[in-house]
Amino acid sequence: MASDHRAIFERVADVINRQAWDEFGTVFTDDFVEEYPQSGEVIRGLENALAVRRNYPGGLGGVDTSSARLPGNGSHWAVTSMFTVVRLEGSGDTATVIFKARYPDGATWWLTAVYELRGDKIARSTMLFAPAFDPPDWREPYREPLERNRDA
Amino acid sequence: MGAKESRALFERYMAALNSRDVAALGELLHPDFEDQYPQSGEVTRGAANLMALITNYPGEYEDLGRDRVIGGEDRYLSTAMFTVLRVEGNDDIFTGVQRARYPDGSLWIIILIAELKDGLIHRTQSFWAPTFDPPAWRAQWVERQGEQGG
Repeated sequence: MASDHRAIFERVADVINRQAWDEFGTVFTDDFVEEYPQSGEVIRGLENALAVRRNYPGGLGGVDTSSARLPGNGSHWAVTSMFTVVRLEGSGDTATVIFKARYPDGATWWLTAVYELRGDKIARSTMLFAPAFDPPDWREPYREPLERNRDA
Repeated sequence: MGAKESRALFERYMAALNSRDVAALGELLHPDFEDQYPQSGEVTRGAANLMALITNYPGEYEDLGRDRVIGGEDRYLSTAMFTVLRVEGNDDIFTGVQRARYPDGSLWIIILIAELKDGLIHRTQSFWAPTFDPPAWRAQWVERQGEQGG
């Protein structure tokens, strides 16, 4: 049966925004596995995933879904906030969500989570962090500016 | 196009990109093809510009061998420089995760999201994520799995 990825993600964002860590188990499975391929790290189990979030230096930012809009077929949506969801694509029990994040030092990063559901909870997630960068000169003859996604 | 054919198309697209196979790309790209790089605010419009960009890439490629591709039927792809780690998607939208080693030796994870239309690759977004050292503050809750870069 097709999963309602948007509804599930909004529940996840709600728990994170309220930092309602005692409700973490309502959106993640007990054996939740979170992978960070860039650093070769893996976090196994709900308790470890919670501990990382509770101890995040400076605290975690929120994800605002209140101004979500639904262009096209509804599989794409966007919101405005410090953590801006710029894209959510899902099919079956797997989804990809892309955020644009602004960190306290002013840096802009794109965060990608590829996650797998079991039932209506997230069982496994792969997180990827991609920084903004200056376009290289050698591509100049072949490109145009992409205005809508640049530091918006 | 069924899900299996769409996945095959997407995997052919990644293989053509990674091997700089311009002729193959020409057969896979939609006339209104667009490739977005949100990190740098760039967009490449049209097959000709993508093919010129690939042809003029200023660097060498390196073969990283084979890895399992999660989510496919035939789950193995290999190209020079790039290693496909994962493919997810449905009939018209796919996410590919690849590992890349660049000429300076750095390892990156590349995320490629592609929308299919009329049996061709229509719109894509690419993201480049660099490897990093695991932060010490979370070491007590985290295991190490393999090398940096997947």
